[in-house]
Amino acid sequence: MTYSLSRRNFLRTAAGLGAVGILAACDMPTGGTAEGAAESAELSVWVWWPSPVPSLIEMGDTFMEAHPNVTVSVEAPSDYWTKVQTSIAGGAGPDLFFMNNVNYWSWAHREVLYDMTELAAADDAMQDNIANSWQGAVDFYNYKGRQFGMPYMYTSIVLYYNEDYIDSKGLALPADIEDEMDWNRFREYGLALHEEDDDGVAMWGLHSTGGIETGWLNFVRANGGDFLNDDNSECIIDAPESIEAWNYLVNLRREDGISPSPEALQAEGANSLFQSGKIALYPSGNWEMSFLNEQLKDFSYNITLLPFSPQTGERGGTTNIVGVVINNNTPAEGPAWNLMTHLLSKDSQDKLARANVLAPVRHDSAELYYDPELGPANRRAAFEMQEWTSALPTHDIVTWGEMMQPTTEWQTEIFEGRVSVEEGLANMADSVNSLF
Amino acid sequence: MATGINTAVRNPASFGPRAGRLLSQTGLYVLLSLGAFLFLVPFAWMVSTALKEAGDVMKFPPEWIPQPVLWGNFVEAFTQDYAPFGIFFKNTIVITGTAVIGQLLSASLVGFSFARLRWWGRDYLFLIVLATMMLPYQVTLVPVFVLMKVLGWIDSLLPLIVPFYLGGGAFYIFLFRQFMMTIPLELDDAARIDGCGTLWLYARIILPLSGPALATAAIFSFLAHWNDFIGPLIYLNSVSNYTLSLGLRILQGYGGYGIQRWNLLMAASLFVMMPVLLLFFFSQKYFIQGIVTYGVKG
Amino acid sequence: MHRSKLWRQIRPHAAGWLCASPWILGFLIFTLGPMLWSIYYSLTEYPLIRPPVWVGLDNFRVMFQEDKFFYNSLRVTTLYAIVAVPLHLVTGFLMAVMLNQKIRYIALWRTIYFLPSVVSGVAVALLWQWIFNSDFGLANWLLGLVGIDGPSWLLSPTWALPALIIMSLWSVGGSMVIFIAGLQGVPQALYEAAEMDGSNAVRRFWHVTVPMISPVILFNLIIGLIAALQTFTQAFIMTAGGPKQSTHFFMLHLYNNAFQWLKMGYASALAWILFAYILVATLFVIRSSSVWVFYEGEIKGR
Repeated sequence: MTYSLSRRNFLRTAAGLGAVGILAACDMPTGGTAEGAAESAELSVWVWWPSPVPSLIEMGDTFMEAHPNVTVSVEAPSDYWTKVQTSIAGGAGPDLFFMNNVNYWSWAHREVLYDMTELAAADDAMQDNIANSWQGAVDFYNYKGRQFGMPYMYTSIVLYYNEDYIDSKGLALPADIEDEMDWNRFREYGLALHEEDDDGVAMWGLHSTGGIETGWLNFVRANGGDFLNDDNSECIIDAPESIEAWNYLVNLRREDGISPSPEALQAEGANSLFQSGKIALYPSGNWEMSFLNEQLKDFSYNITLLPFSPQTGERGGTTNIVGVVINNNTPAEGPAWNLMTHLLSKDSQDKLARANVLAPVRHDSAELYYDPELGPANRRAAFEMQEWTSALPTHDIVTWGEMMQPTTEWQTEIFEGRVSVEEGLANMADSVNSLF
Repeated sequence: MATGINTAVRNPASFGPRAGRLLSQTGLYVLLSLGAFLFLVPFAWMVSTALKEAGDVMKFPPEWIPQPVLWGNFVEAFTQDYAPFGIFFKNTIVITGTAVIGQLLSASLVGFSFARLRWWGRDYLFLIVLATMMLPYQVTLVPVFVLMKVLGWIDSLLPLIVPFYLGGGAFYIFLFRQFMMTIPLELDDAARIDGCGTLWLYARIILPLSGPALATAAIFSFLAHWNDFIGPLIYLNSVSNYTLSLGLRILQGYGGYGIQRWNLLMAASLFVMMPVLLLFFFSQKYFIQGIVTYGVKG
Repeated sequence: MHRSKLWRQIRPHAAGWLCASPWILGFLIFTLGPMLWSIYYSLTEYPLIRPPVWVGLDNFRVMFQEDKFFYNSLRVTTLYAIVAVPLHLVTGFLMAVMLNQKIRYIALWRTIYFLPSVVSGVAVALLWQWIFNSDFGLANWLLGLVGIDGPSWLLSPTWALPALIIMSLWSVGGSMVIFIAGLQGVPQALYEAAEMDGSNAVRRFWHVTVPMISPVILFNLIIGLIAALQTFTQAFIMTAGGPKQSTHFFMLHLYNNAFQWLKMGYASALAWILFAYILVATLFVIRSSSVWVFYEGEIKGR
């Protein structure tokens, strides 16, 4: 089963290939298939959050110059997944829309996505795009031998830190000592950086209570565990290596008290606290960089690799591979396909890189994205992190929403200390397994 | 029937003998002022937040007078490239405008038929009209959605407009019927002697005399369509078709990416409320009239 | 000749039907037809992208035996209705009594209390979401003024539903206005007669005002109950049913099934349960009203 193989191992090799690809940018022509070029159409593209919109509009403009009979509109509707689903079921919906890692397989399984396997095989421009892209991500979008979508960009999780504050404490900057930053060192840093005064916490040492994507799964994987097993048939979050990682994170909250609890973060999120200078060490995704570059006025920040597990000596990470799919209902498959090809062209992926949304899936554009000039200085950590990264869990029968409902529930219970780590994880695994 | 909150007090349910009156009067004013404060302070809170800088919003205790006063929040809230409020405003006007017209025309015509014409089955049908008032819309929600799908109307403004041209809803029919029954019947006879047709009677005599009912119905219809959320939520998918309610939902969902920018959200909410508040101040009488017709005559 | 005579007889009836025809059409297309379809759908599995598949009463079996959100959504909705509706009646009634006194600037007072009830929808939900913000919100600031350390409202499974109830009180002005109109319809003579009997204000209130106004109370009760059982927008916008399903209203459950999970058949079944619930609750209130509602006509019978 190729689709379950992709779970863990391909990404490592892919990251290695990526490093090669980054150095070997090539200029190949971009464009669409000849037969679709003259067809007229009004294409709509949907994405679930606003950051990608401006660069997509630019790409749409370039596309319209080459295809004067086609108009492209880009939108970010509210309640995205519900809207996409009901509009498609209602016989309408966007022509192209954005898909993420965790939802893709269940959508591909539902047969509402356009099967582009043959088109992709016959299209030279697309073949060229694929050849220059991260192969593991392309494979991920191959569901049971059929291509129902193409990867477009991807996330990586890194450690953000408040550089000025750490400097003021006389500590070495985490980016300078990344090889020493194991979990023990991470905890020591958190303890040293944590500060309380009469009004309560003035600075949280770190944030250890994040969710599956930016939080615990990264640590569980570093310790050799995972959420689902390799053939996706079972939730293994209650395995010993996972329990150990969870105990480490929970103790940072429960014993040391240097991380805010999930419920304390409901009023003001961890990202907001980091931005207002109230969390020193903050694991989060590469999507925050563009926002921080623009919004951060009071202090400077930087990023580095996530700390590694002292048990395994490894780091761990998650990625969400964001792709583009075509609605099976589209009346304009030709133009839609051409636009799809255009979105993966060098020109478009360069625009994506410069817009600083997420890392473009093309190696030859990724170089632009990881350019330290875009800020922060150690931006390449987001790229290096890929060596230890694999995709977020996904399943074709059970939807992400169904899986996450009990998961987040037990996650909160554990971090709030209402159940022990062992009991909470056993419950989490049982609830998820009951869905399969 | 008393129709306004401005009408004189006819029946003061006076409390207490004269000795305690002064005391109870003072107590009453204190109570009223306290209540009025609680009812108005959310508005003040909204205006204050809408004009604040982002940093000042997250201050506790809050500063009531924004410094500086940022009118630019309104501009910023409406110029996010993912939330084109100009288009939302236009869509809302189109839906509200055409639906209100449809509702007034068809409900007044049907109400006219029930109030002024005598025909077989009329009273039975009127009972059905009243019965549909009790039917929750959820029962027909799914099949009507499927119907709209078959018609190819999903993600268009039509599902939010067309149904209102067909009857306009039991409440409005009832309202027109009740009002039209109070118009003297002699007028109809006079018109008939003149040889006028039924539609002419409706359009030229009864409708022009139904001004107050029209005004009341127009206001309630306007409020219902302007504030509607579940209809647009279900039928509209493309941002280019969104209404203001859904636009607010976009701002809520995306505002500042995880960090709620309450100043912008309050500015936008205030803007959406404004037409309703203005309408209220200019036509208070009809607001009250509608509620009272519904409540006391019903 | 014969035909025109017949026509003269039919004509007024035809005109009546013609004028009522928009409603008749609308009733058939948007009410009666969909109701019948809804019955059918409730007995099928219907994911919208494929045709309905007959499952008999299985949707109802799943609802009562397997759906872990179903009972909770009934409980939340019932709790909300049981607390919010009587609270509305009492508050609206007391406000109406207060604003039916001889006081200065009566119109201004009434306008102030009525004003919040004219605004509704998403904008109001967002305003109250901000008011109930646990760290920077108005609610906890006000509580702080009287020395109370406020709860975390919408983030707390205990306080989220009470927060929505408090919010609903803001729009009590509508029922207040109906009560005022009702109060003004109470004949002055009854008060005078009671005063001559030596009744004090409290007795007059309980023995004249309340019975005379009881039909209006019944009306407000029914309308409030029906509206409360259909609560949706506030919960959808402010809490999305959380935290921990504590505001997972029935209508939210129905919406999620229909439009998030595309279980159209199951959602139709839920809709009929909601209808039955509303019907039973309303009939119960109406039946019970013969005990406590006083109709003016009865006076003559005594």
